[in-house]
Amino acid sequence: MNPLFLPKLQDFLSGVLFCVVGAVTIAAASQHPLGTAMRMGAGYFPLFLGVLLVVFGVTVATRTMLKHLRQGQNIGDFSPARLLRTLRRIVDREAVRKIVLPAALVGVGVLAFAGLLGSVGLLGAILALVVISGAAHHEASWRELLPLGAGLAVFGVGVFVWGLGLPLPVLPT
Amino acid sequence: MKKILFAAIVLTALTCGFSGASAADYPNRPVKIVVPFPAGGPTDIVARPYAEALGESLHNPVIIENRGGAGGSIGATEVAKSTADGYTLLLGTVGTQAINEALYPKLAYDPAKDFRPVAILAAAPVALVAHPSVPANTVAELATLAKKRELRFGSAGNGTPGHLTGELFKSASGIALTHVPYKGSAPALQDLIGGHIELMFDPLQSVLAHIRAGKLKVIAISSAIPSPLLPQTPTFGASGVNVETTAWWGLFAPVATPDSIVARLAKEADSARKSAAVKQLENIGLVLQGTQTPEQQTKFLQDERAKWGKAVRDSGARVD
Amino acid sequence: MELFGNLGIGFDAVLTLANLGYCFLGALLGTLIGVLPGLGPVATIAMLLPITYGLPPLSALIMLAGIYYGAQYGGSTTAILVNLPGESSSVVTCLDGYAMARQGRAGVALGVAALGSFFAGTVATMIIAAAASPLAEFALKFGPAEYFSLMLLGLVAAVVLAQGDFFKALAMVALGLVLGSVGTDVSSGEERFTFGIPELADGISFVVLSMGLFGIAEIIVNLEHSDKREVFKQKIGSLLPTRHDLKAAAKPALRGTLLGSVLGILPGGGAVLSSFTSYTLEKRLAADPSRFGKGAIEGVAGPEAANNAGAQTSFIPLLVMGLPSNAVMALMVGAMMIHGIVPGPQIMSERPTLFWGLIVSMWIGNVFLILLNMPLIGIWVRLLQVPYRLLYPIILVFCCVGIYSINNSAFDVGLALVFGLAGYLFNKLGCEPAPLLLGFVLGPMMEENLRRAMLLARGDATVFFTRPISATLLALALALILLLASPTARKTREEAFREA
Repeated sequence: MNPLFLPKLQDFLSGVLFCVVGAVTIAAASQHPLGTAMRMGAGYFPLFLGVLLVVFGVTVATRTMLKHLRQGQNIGDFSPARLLRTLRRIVDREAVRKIVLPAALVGVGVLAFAGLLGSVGLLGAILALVVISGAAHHEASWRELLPLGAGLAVFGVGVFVWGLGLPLPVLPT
Repeated sequence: MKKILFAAIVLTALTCGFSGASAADYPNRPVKIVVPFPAGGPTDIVARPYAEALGESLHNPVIIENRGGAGGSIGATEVAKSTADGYTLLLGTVGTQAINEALYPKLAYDPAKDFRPVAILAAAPVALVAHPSVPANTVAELATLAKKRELRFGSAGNGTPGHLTGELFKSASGIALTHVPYKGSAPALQDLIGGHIELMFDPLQSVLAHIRAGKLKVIAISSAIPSPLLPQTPTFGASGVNVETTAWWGLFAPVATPDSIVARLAKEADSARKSAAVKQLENIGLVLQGTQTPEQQTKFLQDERAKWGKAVRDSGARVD
Repeated sequence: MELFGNLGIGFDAVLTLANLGYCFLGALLGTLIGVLPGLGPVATIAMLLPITYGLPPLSALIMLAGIYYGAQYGGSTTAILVNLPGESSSVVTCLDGYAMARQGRAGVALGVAALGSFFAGTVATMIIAAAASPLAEFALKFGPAEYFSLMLLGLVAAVVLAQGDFFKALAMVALGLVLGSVGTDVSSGEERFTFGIPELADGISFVVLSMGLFGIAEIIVNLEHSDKREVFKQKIGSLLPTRHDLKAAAKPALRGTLLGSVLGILPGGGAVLSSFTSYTLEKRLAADPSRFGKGAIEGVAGPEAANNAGAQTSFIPLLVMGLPSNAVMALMVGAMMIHGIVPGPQIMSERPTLFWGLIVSMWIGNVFLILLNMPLIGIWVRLLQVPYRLLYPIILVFCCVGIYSINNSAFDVGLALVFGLAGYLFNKLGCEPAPLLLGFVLGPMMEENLRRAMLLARGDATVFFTRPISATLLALALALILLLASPTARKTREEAFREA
């Protein structure tokens, strides 16, 4: 079982995440004038949101812990050493093969599309997207992905460029 | 010597020919006009018929993109940073080209350095309108009323001609009013007709239909002489308030746009004035502007920037 | 009956071959762009406006209106089939519609969505015909304070969209509000949270955020389990809703229609709020709320009806007062202006053919849409039988082209990927993205109305409690919070007692 599914750790980490985003929000909002309650400046509302995020984050992070504390359970689970050990358990070789690699392939495919469209054109960009991100599936095979990519590239040009008239380059410029 | 001169002339002609060649096939794809206010507002009303007429004479679609917010500066910034190839133009207003510079502390574009004028298209007076329940029909009655209770006036946003006319009106008449900015004319009108604010300053064309339908009443207008469409409505001057303003709209291109393209657009904008759709604007309160030489345009814009910059400083207007 | 006389004028105007043709064309185009994620009705109508200049005004408006409500139909198709909400109103449809699709009930979900929308469209058309003016008067009662309170109620209701923890959902709403405030501040012109990136000056586009959080994240999550379980059940149940399904969907659709019809007339967030509110209502009314998010048919029927009814009644402020309530309506104003029709309160009396013709065309357009969409269901469902290893690259292609085409921006595609990875993280952390999206959509409007309301009240925050409509909305929000917080509160209390 993926240790992240443990509700305790899930809540703790999401609470921390909300606190971090809240802190960044507060820092960024304080760059702008606050104004008064009558004439609010650009920073007023975001600052309030940042504080709200921190409050909610602390609540989310500590609520489950407090519950366990009240029930007399050990919360030593949240010591940095323990967290590190848990993280190491998550990021094992199995996890890399199953989670990180597929996510990375999808990501590289999408980035390739974004990067290539302007220079190589829609045909090449779609082909790259399909072949790279398609390889993320454990049953992927070149013999399927190449024709699929080529077919989708032609279809995409037909629908988006000719059909809808979107101003996208088709071929390398 | 003669030969050299001749060669120089030929060369110049050739290069001109070549630089013109890129403009000769202009436009070969849709041209985009950014309207820096939401659709349906006074600026949009001017832009639509011109876009239609231009599209016809340029033999390419002219598309309008509405980019509202921050008194038009969001849309203006977009055009200022776009490629100067004549395919992205700005429907600039007195706000984006003259007022914002003085009003907004951090403006992301420079109206003088980032743009060159193509044509000044139309102008209109600003009308002071009120919710029918407001117990004042003249400026004098408004002054009395303002002493008894707080009056709020809406505008299409900070830096719009409505906002500034309101600020000038306040300082010239001594009447206390609170400014409430909106994101365009339509939401401000919605609140005015709903009675959530009492007054509004907005160019005539966006409020005329509501005045005629009795949903709003007009108190005064900002032009030097009464509008032929509202002959009974006094000017601010006739009401004893020394304010005279005009809202205007023009077509602008990024500053690096080639001369030939700007000249072509200016020519087509000129002939667009004769199209039926554009002529129609005169029926709803707009005054179509005559042709101006580039020098006249530059002078006009310089004067406007000076005039509105002074108005912003004198009236103490600020971003609310 | 004056109403029937008026509807007669409308039918007379619409029942010409040309106008029926434009109505059908609009509905067809709308469905197509609704199905394709990214390309919304605003962009399409903006693109098509010049073509309509040559048409008679009524034909032009009929076609543009058809595109608008056609897109509402089409948008639910991609939401149900592949979890891609191209419009803010179809976010809710993703929740239970996509769950149904994974259970092999995509046909039922699509059928219920189409029938619910048709029902809502019919009722909403009647409402517009019968009560446009009083409804428009009602909308005028909403000032900035009322809007702020309405948005607040909507955000509290958004918490119900999530299955899990109450506070996590609240935090996700707040996160959405923060993301919504990225970009240039409408009032001061200052750039907030852009970190010097020019592409962010205009804010984050809804499509970029929703495609990332829903579409791309879902694909990454599915790939993780690709060797263990199939994403879509290959056995297809009934292709169309059974009588039992229809019975379960009838009341939610009716309630959704009424909710959507009322909220739709409110400018700005009204139409968006209607689908969210309907979902909240159905989940609260259900005997077993835990089914929601796992393929509850009520969670599709109610919001879809609400969304379509809201889309329809959002025409009311435009037709009765000449005030556009959203971007599409504003473009309709543009179309009217070109034809020399100045939108305003006088349209109904001065141009009865145009007014009633447009209203009647809405109903006829709904008929076209149901005729168009029901036969398509079979094709859509077959699409899900494509093995997932081939299906997800197809989804990615449509996703990426759609995102790119909004601003011709590669940056947007990359940003969507960032949100996709964030969505994956949220999935692992048990934080559901739907409340975040509603916060994102409502945030800017909420801030704008808060600032305006405080300005109008000279900084006196009691204005939210002293104005009756606003106070009522806030009371509802408070009641909802208490209702939501109570089971958890009770549980913790019980545990505390047990230990004592």
